[in-house]
Amino acid sequence: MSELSILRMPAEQLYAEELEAIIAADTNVRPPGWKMSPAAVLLYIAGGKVGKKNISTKYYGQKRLLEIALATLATERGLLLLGVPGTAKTWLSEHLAAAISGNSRLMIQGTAGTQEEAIRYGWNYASLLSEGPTENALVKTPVYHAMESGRIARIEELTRLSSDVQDALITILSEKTLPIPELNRELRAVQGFNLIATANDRDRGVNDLSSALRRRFNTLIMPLPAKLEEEVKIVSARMQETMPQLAATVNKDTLVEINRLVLIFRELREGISQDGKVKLKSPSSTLSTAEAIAVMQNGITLAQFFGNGQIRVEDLAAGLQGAVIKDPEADKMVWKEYIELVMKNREPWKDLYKACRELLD
Amino acid sequence: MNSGQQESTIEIYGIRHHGPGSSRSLIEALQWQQPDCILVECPLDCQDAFAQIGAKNLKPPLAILVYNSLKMQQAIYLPFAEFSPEWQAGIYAQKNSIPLLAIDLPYSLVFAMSDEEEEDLVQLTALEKEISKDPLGYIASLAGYESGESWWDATFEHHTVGKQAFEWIESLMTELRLTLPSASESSNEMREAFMRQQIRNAVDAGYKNIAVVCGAWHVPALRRITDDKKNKLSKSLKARTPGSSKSIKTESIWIPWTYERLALHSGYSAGVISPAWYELLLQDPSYLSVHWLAKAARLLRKHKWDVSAAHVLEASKLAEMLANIRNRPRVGLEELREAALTVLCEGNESRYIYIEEALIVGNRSGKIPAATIKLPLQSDFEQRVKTARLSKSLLTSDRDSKELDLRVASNQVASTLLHQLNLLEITWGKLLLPAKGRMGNFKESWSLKWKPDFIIQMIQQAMFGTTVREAAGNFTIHRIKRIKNVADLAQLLDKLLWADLPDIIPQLLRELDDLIADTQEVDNLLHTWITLMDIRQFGSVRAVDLDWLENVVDHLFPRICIMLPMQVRQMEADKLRTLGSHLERAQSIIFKSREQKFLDHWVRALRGILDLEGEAPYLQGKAARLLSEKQFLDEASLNNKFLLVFSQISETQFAIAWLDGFLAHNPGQIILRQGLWEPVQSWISEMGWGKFQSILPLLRKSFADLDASVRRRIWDKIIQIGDTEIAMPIADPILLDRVNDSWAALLSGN
Repeated sequence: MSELSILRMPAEQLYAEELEAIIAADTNVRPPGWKMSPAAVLLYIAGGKVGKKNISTKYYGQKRLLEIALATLATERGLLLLGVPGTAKTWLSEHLAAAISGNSRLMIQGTAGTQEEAIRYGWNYASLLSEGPTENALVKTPVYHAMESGRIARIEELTRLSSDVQDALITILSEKTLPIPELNRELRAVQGFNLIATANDRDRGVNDLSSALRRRFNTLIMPLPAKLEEEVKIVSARMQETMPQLAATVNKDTLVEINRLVLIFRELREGISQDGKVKLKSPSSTLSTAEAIAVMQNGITLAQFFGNGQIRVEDLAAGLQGAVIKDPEADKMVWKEYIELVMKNREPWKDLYKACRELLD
Repeated sequence: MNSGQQESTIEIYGIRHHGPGSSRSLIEALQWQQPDCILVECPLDCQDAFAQIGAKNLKPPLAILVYNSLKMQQAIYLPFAEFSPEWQAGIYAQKNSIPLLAIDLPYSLVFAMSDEEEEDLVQLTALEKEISKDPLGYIASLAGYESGESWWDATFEHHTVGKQAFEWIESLMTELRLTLPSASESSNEMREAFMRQQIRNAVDAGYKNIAVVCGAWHVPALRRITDDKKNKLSKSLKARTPGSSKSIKTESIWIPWTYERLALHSGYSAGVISPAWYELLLQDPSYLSVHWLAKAARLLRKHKWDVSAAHVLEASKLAEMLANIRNRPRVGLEELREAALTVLCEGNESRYIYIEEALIVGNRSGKIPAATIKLPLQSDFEQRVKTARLSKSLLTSDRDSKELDLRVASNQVASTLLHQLNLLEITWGKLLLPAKGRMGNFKESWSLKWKPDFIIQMIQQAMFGTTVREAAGNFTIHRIKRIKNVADLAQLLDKLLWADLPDIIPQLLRELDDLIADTQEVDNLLHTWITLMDIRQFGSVRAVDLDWLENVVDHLFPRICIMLPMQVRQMEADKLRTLGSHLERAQSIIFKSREQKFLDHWVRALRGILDLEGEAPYLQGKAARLLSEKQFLDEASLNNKFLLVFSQISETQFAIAWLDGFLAHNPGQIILRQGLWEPVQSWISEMGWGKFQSILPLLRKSFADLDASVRRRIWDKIIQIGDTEIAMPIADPILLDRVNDSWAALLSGN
C-alpha cells in the first residue's frame, strides 16, 4: 500500500518557499511584530514575481479590498470579513495570518457549543484539583497563544458563537488584555497580536453581533467575483487543485460546462441575463463560487464512477436544481422563470433545457 | 505687434475644469502675478453673462445657457460651481476691478458649423477623446488615482508655490500632445487658433500683464501665440466671423443649476463626480479628512445609527494607513470613502448611500436674481401656445374648458402641449376625459386654469431644456428612477405616448424591465401586462411605432403565468376579485390577439390554478370557467369538477367561493349546461334549512351579477332535474320545500 498523504497542509507550509523568497526580498518597513511589510503581504496574496520566482495568486478579487484589510490590521484593529458563503473569507484569513505571523493555525472554529474557556483560557482539572489554580494548571487557547507571542488569531464563524461568548472578545480587542483573576495577574498582548474573524451575513440571525463588539472590528464585505472569466478561472483552478486525479479529465468539454454553470449562477445572482435583455429574480440560495465548484465536483465524480468520465448534462441539471432551489416555493418559481425565459432561448443549451425541464415536471 | 508682445507679460494657467485643486493653485498664482486682465477659455458670445461672475446676487452652482435665438433647441449649458477655476478667476477679477474676458470660439460659429454638418474627417478613439477632455484625470488614473483631485493634491499641494504647478502641467501637456498628436481634431485646432487670436487682440489693446486660464490640454498650443498668422484655419474663421452672412445670433443667460446635475454630466468639460467634496477641498484641504469623517458620523447619527467619536478616530487611522500603503502623501477621497464604509457604516452599503448623497454629491442648488430676461423655455412655451391657439386661456385666470378633436391639426398641437406640460408638473390643463382613439373616439376634454406660480416652476425646470418638449423629456427621465410601482410606470408610458415623446421610451422600458423583475405581486404584474397590451393593440392615436413593446410583453407574460398558480394560494381575500377580473380581461385580450405564444402559457397557468387542492376556491372556479369557455376543459371534466366541489367532502365555504368565482364577471353560455347543475341541486337539497339559510346571502351575491333572464334559464334547468330526480333524501319534506322555495326565489328573480 502506498503511503497516503496529508489531505491539506496549512498555508505557511504549503507556500513556505514563496514566503521565504518574499521575506528575503522585502525591504519595506514592517509594522511591529509582522514577519513582512504590508506591501509584501499584498504581493503574496495577489500574486506576482519576486526576482525570478513566481508568486501564485491566492485571491483573485480587488486589490483595494486587500489594501483595506492590511491597513486595518496594521492599525491594530480587529478585521471582520463578512460575506455570503463561498466568498473566500476563510481562505483569505488563513493566508493573511500565514503571511503576517507565519502561522495560520491559531484558529477557533465558532460553533453553538463553543464555551468561553475556548476563547480565554481553560484549566487542566487534574492539576487544578491537586495544585489549585497555578500556571501549570492553566490551559492556553489559540487566542492566548497569539497574545503571548504577538501573532494573529483567527475566529471562524463568529456569529455562531453565543452572545456571551462573543462578549469575551471585547476586552481582548479593546484593551489587548486578558485578565486572569485566579492567578491574580493579566496577560498583556505583545505587538503583532490581532484578530481576524469571519462571519456569514446570510444567516445573520444566528447570533447577531452586539454593537459593542461590532464597533471593535473594521468590517470588510467580501464580494463575489466581479467578472465571468475571473470566476471560471477560479472554479477551474480550484478543481484541479482539489481533485488532482482529475487533471487528466479536465478537458475542453469540462471547461464548456464550467462556463455554462458559472454563467447560470452569475445570471441568477445578478438578476439579469448576460445580454441584459431579461431581468430575473434571485433565489434565496447564495450560488457562490464555492457552490459552483461543489456542483462541478459532484458532476465529475458521478461521471467518473458511473459514466464514461465525461460530465453528463443530466448530472449537471440535478446539481443545478439542488443548488438553486433551497426554498421549495419561491426558488422553484425563480428557477422555472430562468429555464423558460433564458435557457430555452439559447440554441446550444437545448440539451440542458430539456434535462432541467424533465427534472422539474 | 511683436514689439507689443515683448512689453506684455503673458502667463498661461492650465487648469482642470471644476478642479478645486486647480482653483487653489490659480488663486495663489494670480495673487503672485497681479495681472491687469484675465482671459478665460469660455465662448466669446457668453461674455456678457460671464463678466457678471462675482456679482452679489449670483449664487453658484449656476450655468450659462447659450442658445441660438432663432432655433432654441440648439443650446448648450456651461455649468460653474464655486470651486471651478473659471469662477475663481471671475471673483479675482471682480475684487481687483480688472476685466474678465471670454476668449473661446463663440457658439454662434459652433452652431453654424454644426448646421453645415461639417464633420471631422478624423474620428477620435474613445481614449483620445477621454484624454483631450480631461488630460489631468487621465494622468491621475495612470498614476493609480481614482480621482484627478487626489492626484493634484498629492502632486502639487505643499510642493509648489505660485505658478510652479502650472509650469509642471505645461511640460506634462507638451509631452502628452507630442505623444498623441492625433487626439487633437480640427475643431480643437480651430478653437485654439481663435484663442491665440484673442490673446493677440488683448496685447494689441494694451494690456501689459495678462493671465490666461484654460483647460490644461490647450496650454502648449496657446503658448505659440505668434503662430498661424497666415494659417488657413483663421481664414475659415474669418468667413464666419460675426457680422458675416453665415453668422448666427446667440443669447446667453444664467440659470440655476444643482450639484446633482453637476455630478451627473457636465457638458463643456470633464466629468465632475463629487461636488460636495470639491467644495470642501476648495476651502481647507489640510484638516479635511477628520473634518469630513466627523461630518459623516453626524449624518449617520441623524439617521439613528450609533456612531461614536472613537469610530471617527479609528476611521481616520484606517484612512491614513491606507494612504500609507498606497504610497500617497495624503488621505484622499478614495481612502475616506473606504474608511467610512468599513468603519463608520460597518460595511453596510445602505448606510453609506446617505454619505454619498450628502457629502460627496451634495444637494446645493444655485440662485439667480429674479429673471429680467425671458428664458428660452418660456419663449418656446409662448410660441407653442400661439400655434395651439390657446392664448385666450393663458390670459384669463378663470377656469376654461376645451374640447380637443385630435384629428384637427391645431387641436392635436394643443393636446400634445398640455400633455407635455403635465409631465413637467406644470398642471395648467387637467384631462377630464381621455380620448379613446381605440374606440373611434378622438375627443379629449380638458379643463384649463393658469396660475402665476407656473412661471416659477418653469424657471426651475429651465435646466432640463430650452423647449417644452425637450424639458418634458429630460425631466421625465430624471423622474423615472424614482417610480417604484410597476403599474405607475406602465401608465407613465401611456402618458409619454400622448405627449408625443417617443425618444424617452427606451429608457423607460429599461426601468420597467428592472421593476418587473423586482415585483413579486402577480396581480400588479398582470395589471401592467394588460396596460401594455392595450397600448400595443390599439396603438396611440398618434400612430407611433410600437415594436419596442414586443420584447417586454413577451418576457412578462410567461413570468406571470409561472407565478400565478404559486401565488394565488397566499393571496389576500380582498385582492381575489380584482385578480379575477384581470384574468377575465387577460383572457379576452389573448383570444382577440390570437397569438399562440401567449396561449400555451396561459392554459398551463389556468390548469395550474385549477389543480391547487383545497386552496383558492374563488380563482379555481374562475379558472374552470375560463378554460371550459374555450374548450380547454371538456364537458365531462367540468362536470366531474362540479361533482367533486359540490360533494360532501368539500367544505361549504369552499364550494360557495368556487361557485362565486365561476359565475362572477359575466359568464357565457356555458353555465346553461344542465350537467353542471345536477350536483349543485343535490348538494343544496342535502344541506338542510339551517345551513342553507346561512349561505343564502353569499349565494345571492354570486348570482346578483347575472341577468334575470339567465337566472331564469338556470332555474328551468334545475326544475328539469327535479322532474327526473326521484326523491330528495332530505329528512323533513317541509324544510325541503322551504329550501326549494328560497332557491327558486333567488334564481327566478322574485
